[in-house]
Amino acid sequence: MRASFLPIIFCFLLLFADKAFAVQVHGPPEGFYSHILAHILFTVSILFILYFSRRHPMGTGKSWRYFRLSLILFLLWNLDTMMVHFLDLRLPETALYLSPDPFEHRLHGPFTLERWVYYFGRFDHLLCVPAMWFMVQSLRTFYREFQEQRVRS
Amino acid sequence: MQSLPLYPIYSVDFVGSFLMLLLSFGAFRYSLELKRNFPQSVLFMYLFGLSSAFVALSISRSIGHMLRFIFIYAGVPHWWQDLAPISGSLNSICFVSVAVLTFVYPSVRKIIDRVRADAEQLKEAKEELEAANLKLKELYHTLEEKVEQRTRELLASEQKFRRLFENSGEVIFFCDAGGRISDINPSGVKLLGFSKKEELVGRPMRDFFADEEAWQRYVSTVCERGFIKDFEVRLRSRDGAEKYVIITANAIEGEEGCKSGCEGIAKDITNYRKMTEKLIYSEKMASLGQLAAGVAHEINTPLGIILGYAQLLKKEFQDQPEVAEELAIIESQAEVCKKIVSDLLSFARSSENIRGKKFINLNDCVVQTVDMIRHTFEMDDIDLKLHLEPDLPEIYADEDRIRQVILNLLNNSRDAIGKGGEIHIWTSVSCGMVVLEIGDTGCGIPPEIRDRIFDPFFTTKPPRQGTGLGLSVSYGIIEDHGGTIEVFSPPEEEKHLKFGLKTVFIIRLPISRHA
Repeated sequence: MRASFLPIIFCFLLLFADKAFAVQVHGPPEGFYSHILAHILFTVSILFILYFSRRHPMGTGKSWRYFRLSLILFLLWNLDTMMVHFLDLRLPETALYLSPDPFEHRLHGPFTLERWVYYFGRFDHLLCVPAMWFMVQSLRTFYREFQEQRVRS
Repeated sequence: MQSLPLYPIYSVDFVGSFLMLLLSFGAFRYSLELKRNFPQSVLFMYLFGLSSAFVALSISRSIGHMLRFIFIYAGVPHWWQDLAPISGSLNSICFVSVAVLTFVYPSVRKIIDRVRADAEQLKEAKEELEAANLKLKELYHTLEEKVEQRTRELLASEQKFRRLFENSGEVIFFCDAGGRISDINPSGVKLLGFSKKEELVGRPMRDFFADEEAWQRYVSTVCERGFIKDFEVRLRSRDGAEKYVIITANAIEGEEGCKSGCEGIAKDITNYRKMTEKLIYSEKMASLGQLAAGVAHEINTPLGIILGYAQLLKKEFQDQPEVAEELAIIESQAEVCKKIVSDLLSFARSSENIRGKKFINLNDCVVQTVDMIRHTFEMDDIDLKLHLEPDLPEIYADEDRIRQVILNLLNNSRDAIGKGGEIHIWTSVSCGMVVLEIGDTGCGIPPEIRDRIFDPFFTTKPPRQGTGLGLSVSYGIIEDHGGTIEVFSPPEEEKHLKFGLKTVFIIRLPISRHA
């Protein structure tokens, strides 16, 4: 009895249907926030794994040293890129001269501390490339150590 | 400074992007190798995930950086504007992936460690089960063999103890809680005068204790202390003969700790005890003999003087009949005393000499003595029966004194019988000795005086009817001849019992070397 009554009510309500807001519209800042949040998540995860490895030592030796160095450098890289992202927002449009020729692109003054930080902060590859290099070194050392261990056993 | 060029940044980005690509693939390669070689390692799984995310990040970000420069340089910057959001989103996804992997890794590691620990426990349990299973299988295969071996060992052990039980010279017995004999070995059956064990099993042990008090002491000691050691007791066999035994027994503890019976060993010490008694007796008799000899020697001289003077005075006072009569009384009493002293000396072997000894036949002595007294005995309706060995070897002895011994014993038998009875005399040879046995159907000798009958002056006769020296003198004479004299009352041998004899004297005299 109750089962047959419900469709009737549903059909009745359809007669009074109005404008719906079911789908959310994503404006341009959302991409920025998502990206920054992703950076924050990455940073927190690195802090977490560093804390975890200190609390529950996972191992010693060269491989683990490289691994920790890699994480620290990735942490610094994250902080650097987040900072550059925020400074980029604060730059006025006139601060950058972006001609069709990329070799003529320039950052105009006045050169406050913020602009200097922005300028040098954009050399983020100076942090992420060593971070990745240490990551490779760590994995390589792991691989060699375990290979040697296997040969010995 | 008006402005700074951005191309150094672009250059570093371009080269850095290229290096990031190379390095991320390098990392991916090593992590892939590690994962392949150690597929169970959670760390390498995590590092593989991390490397994969970094490869994706490098592709997205580095190619993005490189393309941006190329697109701008090529004059199509709007292409980069279209591509930038995709590259940025991909970068964000990569960051999130790296973060998720990093957050999840410790938890996964914990879970896997726990699973591994459980698996390890399961493995150990499985190994234990397998080992137990193997043992069970082995046991199953060897069970029959082991049972057989065990049975053989048990049988051998049972036989060993059975042999010990059956062949032991000592009595081994078992009693139940009620004090009834539940098992006893052949030595025990023989000691108690039975022919079969079945006749004894189930009979109360107290029936065989000659003394009720000893039985009570035995039971209370075993119950209280749980054991009894070297308990000397007299047992009475089926035929009434008494046996001295030493019992060592233990109480048997039941399942609930209560005494459920006893088991023990009894050693027959009857012979040992008799020998000890004989030794003590002979020592006593030797001491008495020394004392009697001393006294006799001391009295003999003044007695001779009294007798001599009495005879002298009697001759002198022949004319005075009253005085002569009194002197005759002194003389006769002195003679009596002299006889007693003489008997004492005989007992004490003080008259030891070989002057009267010669090679004689004991049968002749017996016949002569019996002939001498037969008439008197027949008047009291006492029948004398002789069982003489025809070819009896000779002995080296004083014939008169041997006859005196026989006469003493026969007189004692007559006194014990009173009127109407039998006296049996046996002669035989045993173990290099001539044996003379004299038994009567008299009243027997009470046990309490049995040990004193050979003592000097010991008599059961009324005053003035006996000096109590007869058996002492006989003892002394036999000892003097290197023989032994024993009394059995009641007798133990069947040949004595069948005639209803109550007392038997057994004399053993050494066969002469001449014979």
